[in-house]
Amino acid sequence: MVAGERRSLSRRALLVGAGAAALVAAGTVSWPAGATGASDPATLRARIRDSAAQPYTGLAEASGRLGLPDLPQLEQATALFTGTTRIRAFHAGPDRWRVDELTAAGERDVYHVDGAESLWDFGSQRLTRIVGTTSLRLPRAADLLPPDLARRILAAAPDDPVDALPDRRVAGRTAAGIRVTPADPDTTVAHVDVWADAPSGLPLRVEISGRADPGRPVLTSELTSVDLTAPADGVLVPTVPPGATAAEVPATDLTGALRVLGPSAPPGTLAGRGRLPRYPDLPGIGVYGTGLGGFVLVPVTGRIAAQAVDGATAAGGVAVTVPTGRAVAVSTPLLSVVIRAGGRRGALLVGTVSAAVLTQAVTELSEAAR
Amino acid sequence: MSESVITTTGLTKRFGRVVAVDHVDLDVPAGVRFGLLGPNGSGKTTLVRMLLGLVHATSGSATVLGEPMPRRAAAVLPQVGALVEGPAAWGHLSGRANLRLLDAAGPGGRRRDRRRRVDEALERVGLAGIDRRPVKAYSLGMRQRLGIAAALLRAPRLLLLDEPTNGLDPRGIHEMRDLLVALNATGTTVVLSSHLLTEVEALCTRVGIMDAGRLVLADDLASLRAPTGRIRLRTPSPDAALALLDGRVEAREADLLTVRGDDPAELNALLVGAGVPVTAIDRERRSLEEVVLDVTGSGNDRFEGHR
Amino acid sequence: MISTELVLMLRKRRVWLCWALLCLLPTVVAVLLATTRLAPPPGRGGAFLSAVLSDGQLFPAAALALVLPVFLPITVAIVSGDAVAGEASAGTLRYLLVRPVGRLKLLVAKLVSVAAFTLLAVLLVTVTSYIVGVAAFGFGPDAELGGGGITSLSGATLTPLELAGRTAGTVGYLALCMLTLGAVGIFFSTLTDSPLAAALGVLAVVVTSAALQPLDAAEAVRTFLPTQHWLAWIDLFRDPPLLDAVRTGVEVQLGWIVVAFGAAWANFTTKDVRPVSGVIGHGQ
Repeated sequence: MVAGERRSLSRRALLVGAGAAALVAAGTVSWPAGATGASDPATLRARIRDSAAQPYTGLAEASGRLGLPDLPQLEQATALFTGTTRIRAFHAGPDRWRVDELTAAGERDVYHVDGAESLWDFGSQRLTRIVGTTSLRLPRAADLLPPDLARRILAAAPDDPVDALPDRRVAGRTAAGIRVTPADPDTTVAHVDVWADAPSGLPLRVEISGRADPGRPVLTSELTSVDLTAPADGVLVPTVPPGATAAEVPATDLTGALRVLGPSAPPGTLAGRGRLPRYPDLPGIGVYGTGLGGFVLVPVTGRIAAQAVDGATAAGGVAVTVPTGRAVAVSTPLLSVVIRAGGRRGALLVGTVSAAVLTQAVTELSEAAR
Repeated sequence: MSESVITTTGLTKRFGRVVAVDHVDLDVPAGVRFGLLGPNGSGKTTLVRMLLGLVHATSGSATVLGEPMPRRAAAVLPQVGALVEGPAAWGHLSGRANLRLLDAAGPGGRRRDRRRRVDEALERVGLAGIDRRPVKAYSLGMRQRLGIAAALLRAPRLLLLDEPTNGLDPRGIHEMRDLLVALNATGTTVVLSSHLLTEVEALCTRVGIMDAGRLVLADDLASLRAPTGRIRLRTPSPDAALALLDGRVEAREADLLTVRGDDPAELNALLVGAGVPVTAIDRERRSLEEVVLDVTGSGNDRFEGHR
Repeated sequence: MISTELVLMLRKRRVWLCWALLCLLPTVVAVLLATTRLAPPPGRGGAFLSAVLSDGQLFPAAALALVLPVFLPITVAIVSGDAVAGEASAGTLRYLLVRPVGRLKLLVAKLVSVAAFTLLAVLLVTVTSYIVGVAAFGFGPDAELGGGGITSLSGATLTPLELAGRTAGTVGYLALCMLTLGAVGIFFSTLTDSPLAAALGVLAVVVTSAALQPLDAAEAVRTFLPTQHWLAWIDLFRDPPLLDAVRTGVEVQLGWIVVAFGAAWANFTTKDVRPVSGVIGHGQ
């Protein structure tokens, strides 16, 4: 009877414990991925690159651990790489989509319908219509959506080798994976893993790992739920609610942070990498390198450059000796940043190359400026 | 003896290292007024709690109204009224509201009879006139009466009352005694625990005595107080009596003699015949107090604090 | 037993005091906002607070966001911590059990009454703050156009009917989140005879959960933290409404309720109901 009493008590406790464990298990264990019957990695890469027409509606979560220093006027862009972003996508086609960046107490939405873009910001109660286009802009939440991110990376590295990865469950679907390993010895990217819905080729998850620690991705983006049907037309129409303001802004104004007056033309070659012949509408800005190892040269005003150098130094940047002015280099697991200040002009170099490459580039730049 | 209302076999309860109830074999026949006597800390309350299923036995078994407890509590308890370890009520509600809620909480009884049931129970314990004051404003005696009313609410076959007269004034105690005797006369078995000898002696027909967790004695009050085989007599001339009854006298205190024998009439005739006047004569009976002292030994209370 | 339990709850002064305090905080905030017209900048302060000045109908959402992190959990902790421990310390527990009320039935009744408390708490805050909000800030700009709706986070206008539906969803969701704490409170309440200790236990759970939430090291368990999903209802005010987080939240909260209630059952059904003071005697 003694034992019986104890036993019945522990039996109940055991039952509850087992129930709790079962619930936790149901919440964490991912069901074994069924075979996707995936084709070879090269075919999957091609299918992913062609998946832009695949409509879908989904919710994504992107999280980066890049630890970028605060760059004046670029906080919104750097936050994308240093924290977690919830993104909702309504994708009807390459030219008809809406992407919402969901924040705790509001939303920033981008509507892209037939070439016209509108931005809704709940916090400021404003719908901004963007007039014209620009060839280069700051990163925004929509760029982190797995399909966009994956396609952009695969387009940038069309010839780098790919390997197959084991299938995994993403958003309740079985996804086939490929790993792109860049051949460029100077890039900070160790490899990029992409899992895509095999039949449609729609990328569902992207992991970017840096060379510093290839075991842990520094940027992860995943569709936590996805529906491969086109969104209703209604959700793609931006509205100006009563009480809110409507504004029109030329596209180039959005890149105001990247513009300085009277910049000098960027050199044709920096650190042994040729300048890409694009972006004529943004004078002074140069994009160098191909594949996954490239960088951007952005001329900035002397004041902003000085602020950024101070900020980066405080954040643990390494001082770089340059012929004129002062410069600081910041290495993060994925992006390297070098900022030079001195005089009326400064320069910001950001890229997925090692800090050494950017250091060399900034040295060449300041020698040219002498 | 008729069927048993309560039977326990080897009932034991340990709280950690303390044995509160130690192998109790208790039998309460139907229709009696059973008094469970014992000092504080002797295990009475724990025993009552086990009978009600509030405390689970460490070993042994208990049967109440023919059903095993606590397994069949749902069937047994509706027929049992209980007052355990003092009355308790929701202090922010009136006594009437308390009884109504308690009545509604459990099974049985029709909703539209509720008011009548509550009024009857209140009347029986002398609280018919209570107003809407909350219970927290009640005196201890009123709370005690309310607790007993709650126990009577469902016309129980068995009443298990722990210290039922606690807090009552002498008049209240008397009323309560009459009430319990009247209920018993209509067939309700009454079990009460008390540390007051006089209360048990005045009310009960059968007594159990607990000491340090053990049931050391359980018997009818009548047989406990059966003649001892001695006669006590009072005489103005004890020396003459002593001379006459030499050898039969066991004790003498002034004019009070204790004599072996069990026929007072015969002894009386003998003494009177010999010219010894007798002012009082009767069989000697043990008092309950003597019984208790006999079976419990000394020093119970001294360890009360330890428990 | 359930009706008894509900009557008991509704007649406790403490319960009404909790509800009154819950409604008081948003009212004070509304009065201050209305007199100063100083709304926190967008993205700062509580959710929706910056938008309230232009539309009083948003005030219920803002009010719920205000009371959610601290006030609501405290009141639920107090009421649920009292559930079993309060009856035990008052002594009424033993009379309910010998009435008899089955132990599981008693726990179910307690859970139902805590659920009723949380639902009414959230509902009262919503209704009070709607009245206060509209009185202080008026209807929004949509009302002048004859619509009477509000602006969703996504910019689309929600009709009054949609607003009512989504508010109802929010009320239900938050009541469920709070019921999780209630179930935990009932469990703690079976472990001790002190209602205060049980209530503090619930608050300890809330604080621990909130402290773990932002830790990277706790990423593996984050989904299972009860506080993690408390703000998911904000997604209901997007357009179209986003249900993913709410659904996950509901699953997690239900899981907690089942486990906590199961633990309460496992503990309480075999528990000895013993004298409170530890003195076997005649309880005075």
